[in-house]
Amino acid sequence: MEQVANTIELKSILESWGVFIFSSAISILGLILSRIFKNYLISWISGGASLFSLIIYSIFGKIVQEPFGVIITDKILFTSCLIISILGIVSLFVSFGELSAKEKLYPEYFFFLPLASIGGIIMTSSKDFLTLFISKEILSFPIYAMIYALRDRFGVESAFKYFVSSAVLSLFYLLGLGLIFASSGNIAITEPQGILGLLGLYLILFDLFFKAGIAPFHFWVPDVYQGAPSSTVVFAGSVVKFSSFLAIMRIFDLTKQIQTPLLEVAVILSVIVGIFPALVQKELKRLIAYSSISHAGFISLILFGIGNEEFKNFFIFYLATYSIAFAGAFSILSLFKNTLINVEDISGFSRAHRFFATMLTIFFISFAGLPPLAGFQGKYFAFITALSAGKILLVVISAAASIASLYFYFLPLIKSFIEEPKTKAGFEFSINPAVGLITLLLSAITIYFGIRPHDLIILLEGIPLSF
Amino acid sequence: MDAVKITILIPFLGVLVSLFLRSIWVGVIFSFLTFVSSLFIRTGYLGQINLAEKLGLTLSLQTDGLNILLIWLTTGLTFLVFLYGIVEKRERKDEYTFLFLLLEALLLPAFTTKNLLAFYFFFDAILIPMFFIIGIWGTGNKVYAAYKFILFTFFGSIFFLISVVFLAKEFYATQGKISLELEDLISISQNLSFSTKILLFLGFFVAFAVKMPLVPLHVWLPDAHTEAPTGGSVILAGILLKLGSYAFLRFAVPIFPDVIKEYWFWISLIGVLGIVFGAILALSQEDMKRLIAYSSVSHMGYVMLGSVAMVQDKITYEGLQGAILQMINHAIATGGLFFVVGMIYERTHTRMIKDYSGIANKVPFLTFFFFTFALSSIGFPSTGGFVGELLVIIGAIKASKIIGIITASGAIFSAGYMLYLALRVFFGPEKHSEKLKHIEDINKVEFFVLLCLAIFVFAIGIYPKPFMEIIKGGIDFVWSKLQIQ
Repeated sequence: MEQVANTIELKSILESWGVFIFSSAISILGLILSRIFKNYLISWISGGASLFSLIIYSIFGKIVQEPFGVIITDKILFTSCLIISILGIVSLFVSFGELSAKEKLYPEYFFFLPLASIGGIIMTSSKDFLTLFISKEILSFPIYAMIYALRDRFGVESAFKYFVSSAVLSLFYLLGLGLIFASSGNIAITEPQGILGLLGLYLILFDLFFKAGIAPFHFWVPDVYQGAPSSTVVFAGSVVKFSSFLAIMRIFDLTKQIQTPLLEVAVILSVIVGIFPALVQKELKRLIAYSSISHAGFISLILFGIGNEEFKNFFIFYLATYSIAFAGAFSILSLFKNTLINVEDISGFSRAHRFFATMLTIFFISFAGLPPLAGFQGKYFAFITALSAGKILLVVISAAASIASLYFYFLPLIKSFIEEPKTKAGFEFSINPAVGLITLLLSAITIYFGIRPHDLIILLEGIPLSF
Repeated sequence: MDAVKITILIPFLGVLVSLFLRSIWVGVIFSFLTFVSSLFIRTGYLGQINLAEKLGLTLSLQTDGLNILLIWLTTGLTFLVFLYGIVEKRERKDEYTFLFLLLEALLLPAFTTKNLLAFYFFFDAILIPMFFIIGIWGTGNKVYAAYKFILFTFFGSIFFLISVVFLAKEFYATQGKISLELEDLISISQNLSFSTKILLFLGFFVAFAVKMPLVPLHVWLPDAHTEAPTGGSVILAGILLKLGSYAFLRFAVPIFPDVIKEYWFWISLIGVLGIVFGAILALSQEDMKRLIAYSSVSHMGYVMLGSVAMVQDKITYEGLQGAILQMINHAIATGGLFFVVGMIYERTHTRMIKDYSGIANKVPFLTFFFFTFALSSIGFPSTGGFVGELLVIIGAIKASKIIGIITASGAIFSAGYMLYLALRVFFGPEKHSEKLKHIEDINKVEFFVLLCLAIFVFAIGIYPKPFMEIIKGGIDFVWSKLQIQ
């Protein structure tokens, strides 16, 4: 670990930690006030302000040395700060719509969102395993509660499943942390010492794989995505995946080695485990959940090239654009009144709600990795990185999987555009202009970066603006 | 801004406009503007539209004898499809306009670019509008047909993508930057071992063979053609299939000249197999559209054969001429036949041959146009098809006598199935059934659409010289790339 100076200046603490303290404080304050005045809007606004301050920080912040030596302050911190807080704000709007439509609005929800975001941001840039653990838990705990936001049968099931399995894997993490400390007397993320240290590192990676939804630690994904409110999944599915993947990348980066065999197994399993169940899946949320497992496999392909700065950009590009499409798809699903949305239920969806059907199409085609959408660029980057690392077999397997995946990605589109409505009653669907605007923006991002992918990399390299 | 860039951008503008102005006239106007501006394109153009240069995605534009006819064909046929769309009875014409304009917008850059990633980008993006066109306005088992279309094509193209990315990765490893320009990939492919090249070539070849389609991989085509709406069939047969054969000459031959020199005989055999097999299958069809679809398989076999028929490591001049001309002929003749069949179907709602008999008296003009296109499809002298097929057969005989003989005899089959179709549908005793009661001759718009195509059938057939002069540039391109090594 780095030498911590005896006297740490308040100024340097504020420069690096100030924004996190400020945004937590403002959201706590909003929560208290909204409980006192019994007005949910206060908590919603304070949550928004809190996330907005994170966006401001990511744009106008300064890269400074962090005084305690627990966070790496570099471009990636600011990049992930921007992306996570944008996803947080998306989730803020979507969840307000869904929870108020279902009359299950609680002010705590809008306190949990910024809190989890801060956890996710710190997780992407932890310098040691303990900070990583704490930030991971800061990210996870609010999510357990958010999954149960609707107080229904599905929610309690998925929250409980997620909580118990997370707790078990967290124990793995702690054991790994102990082993690493025992082997090297150090908790910093560095090269593992001896077989004991390597074992510890593997245990820690297992937990992160679990959070990222990489097979064989994927079993919770379909159940949680299906049972949780869609607006929670907008956040949980995208931000948790984003943070965990960046944490894995940091570990590979800082330990200066990619755990090749582990990663190879993970890619093959994720792709296969994600594709095959999805082929017979008839429930939309579960379908996207399985597809997200296979996407985890594709993203892991880029991890093979992580030593190269250029490929690191590819990694963030894929994660960011996938998270955005994912958030967009679940934003639309959050407008359905039913918890379970079968593929049959959306027959003729485009007749009734052409706008939302079109947006759903864009996100699904982006998942499928067809040009001209951002999903294609991600696939191209995954292929070029993995081929550069010499993983031809993995690329061929993923390619075969992506052919098969076309079947289930296009199934909902067929139902919504091509088939006639099954019933004349219409859809249990509540139109929300805010969600409409958000999905429009997200789909515009998906199309734009599909055509001009380099602009996203330039954009992310441009922050924070240095004055 | 120059003619090429304007031609590429107008359909995109049309796509945006069609989101807000929901009328087929948007499509008519924008496709007409595109057609007019495409007439100003000349060969020898080089240009660029940057999308993401550092990541290899640059729209490097190039026009030469290989693609300029195909560009005119694309803009012209799309305009005719929209024109026919005015009088056609269709639901959801606004979405129809949007998807066909999108299709044109994606096709034009695909034909113009020489960057392989950009080509793949548009090559695959075309699947999306086409999938919905077959799925929404198709008939019968349309979802099955749409799925079959997209899965087969994507199956081919994903391995094309891997091959392309592999070449790009080799370039990155030696030069330190990502580039997928044709010239760069040609230079990098020379350093690869022959066995690697064969594998990469297979990735290219399978993608193009599915698209063309060549015989073992053609099974998606009859379904897609049969179930697609008239406009969809016309664009599919007229333009989409040409993407495969065009890309073979533009990309596969220049990047892997030695693989083709080694294996041209086997590739041409696949082409010959397509000619014979497609023709035999066409003979036994009972559905008019399916018959024409199988005739497409047969005709694209000629294109493949002409593209690879080699004499002493050099593709024969006649073969290449015939292949490129046959692409155009096939687009016009088969596009025209699909128009005719679509018009008949719209009046009677049946495509089964057995439901018809002796309708020539009732629809004389339609019969005339049918014969024009059918004769071109057979390869009858004075039509375009004759010139194209003759040249391919000359090239084939020069390259290999056996192949030439089989090909020439394959031409007999095409006369067989086309004339047999005409005999059963248009001639014979007049049938008085419920379905044929309301059949009437074509109206003015339909007449105009068919006339435009018929003019070109005879123009190419009687005076092919101007077309040959344009095609010469394309042959020079292919030859120059073949001689590099």
